[in-house]
Amino acid sequence: MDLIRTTARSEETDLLRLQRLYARYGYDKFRMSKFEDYTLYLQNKDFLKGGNIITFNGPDGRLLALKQDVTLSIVKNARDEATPCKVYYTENVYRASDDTNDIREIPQAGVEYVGQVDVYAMSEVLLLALESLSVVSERYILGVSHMGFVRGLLDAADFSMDVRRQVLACIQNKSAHELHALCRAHGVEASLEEKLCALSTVFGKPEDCFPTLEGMAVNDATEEAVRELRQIYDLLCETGHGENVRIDFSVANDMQYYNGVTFQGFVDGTPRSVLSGGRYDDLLRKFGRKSGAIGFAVYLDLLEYGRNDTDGGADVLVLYDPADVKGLAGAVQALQQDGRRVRVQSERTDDRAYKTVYAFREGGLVEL
Amino acid sequence: MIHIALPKGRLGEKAYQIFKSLGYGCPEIEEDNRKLIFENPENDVCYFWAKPSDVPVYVERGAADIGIVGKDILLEHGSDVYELLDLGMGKCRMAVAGIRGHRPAADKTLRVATKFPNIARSYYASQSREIEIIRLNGSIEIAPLLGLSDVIVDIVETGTTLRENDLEVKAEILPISARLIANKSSFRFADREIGLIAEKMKELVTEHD
Repeated sequence: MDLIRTTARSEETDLLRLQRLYARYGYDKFRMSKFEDYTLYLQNKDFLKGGNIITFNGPDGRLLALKQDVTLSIVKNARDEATPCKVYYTENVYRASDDTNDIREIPQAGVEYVGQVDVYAMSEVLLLALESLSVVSERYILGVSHMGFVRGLLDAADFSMDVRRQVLACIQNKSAHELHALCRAHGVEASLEEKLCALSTVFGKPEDCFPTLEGMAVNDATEEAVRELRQIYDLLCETGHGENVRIDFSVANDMQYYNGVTFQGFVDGTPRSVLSGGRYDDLLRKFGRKSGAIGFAVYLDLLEYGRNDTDGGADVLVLYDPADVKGLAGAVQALQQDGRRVRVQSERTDDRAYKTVYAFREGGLVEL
Repeated sequence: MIHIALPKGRLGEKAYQIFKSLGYGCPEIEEDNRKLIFENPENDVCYFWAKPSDVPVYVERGAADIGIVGKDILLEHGSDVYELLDLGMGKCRMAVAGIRGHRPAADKTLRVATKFPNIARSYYASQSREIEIIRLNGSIEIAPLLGLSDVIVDIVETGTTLRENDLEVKAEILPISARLIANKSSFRFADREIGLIAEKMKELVTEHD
């Protein structure tokens, strides 16, 4: 009896399915301790997803942190080798919310590929992202962007660092009106302004968007980015997973670390993105490595929203008389054989709903 | 069904009239009743009233697909939502105001009374000015008059309240107006419907300008 198939979808089963998925593609399991050196997070604060880090003094006086992120720890240990590091993880991360000071334990699954990143490697990671989404829902979308394209356009506009950040924020919030105002305030030439603002409105199936993107290319960086997106998309279509992909520049990530394709996964019924990832070679450079890297994380806590938990507890109630229990255990086990959850009590004490209620009398079950 | 969060008050009522004129009316909401949620299955739309500062919370968390909210609340709250359109309604300014003719000493820590501590902090940080924030919830104008603070950071519409109390605008921080916001996840699954609403509203708004 496959417990995983018969048990209602839950966090545990999602985790198990995801692990099996990543293992099928030959990714190794990465395990890490609950704690990480605080300085690692301090030096790479911009890479973290936000929220306060929970710190404490270790036994040797070092400042430690309850781990908030797994990618940094993987990258910290990665070496420049011929064999690519292909790992997956299912770990709990810890974050303190900025405003309420609640400390949360967040189950997270993820995949990292560190090494020579070619088009096939990128499409494999995106395929894993799509398959991860399909594990948790039937209705999902993977929004895909390319930081090379965004950067290329920003370079053409010659903005200062501060304005680049504001422009990126407008693109992430789809605020075309604010982008127009920013462009005008900084004297951006009209056709470039139109292209930048188009970044905040372009959204749709890749085959529909590619012609528009090609028309928006202004330099080598932007042309190369569209070419790369096309190649990745073609490979994804070969596997039949192309239909849930959308071109979506509002998924743009921190420009410091993400230099190529970036993506976010959404599941219908869940208000925030449940999957987030991208190509982050620039983080590896910061660690003095020559390799490239691409990966993603799945936020399993958010999936609670989408689940239809009608779980009221046990399916069957068996009432018994403490003086007449010979054969009761066997009868209960027999009921459990067909996968039902059986609760045994001497009295009916509350009005919980059960599918069936039995009374155990004189060696047998009587349906009430 | 598209769920729309409307802010209680004048802005929300104006916004509803706009939705109605675009074909998203809901007769229930116009009736005099104590209902909180109003559905119109014909238009496939559902409205509810919320405290203005709560609208971004409903939208961010997906309880509403879209909402109408002032830029001041968006900036103060820091919501992770799409800001699709500037409705050009409810126009006013976020400004620093203080007693007319009075200039607080530049070497002292400036005491700022405000309902918008995040906006105030961010404004003065950009000026590298050290401040002490005094968080109030209403009638901010009386703070400098009673010596509670040196200045206030607040919304100014016509400026009449300030003038009548011998206060004046010292600096304008930014212009404020009502915005159409959308939940980031809803948008991806209902981009056609939400995009259509935004498009229609944009046409209406630019007509008026």
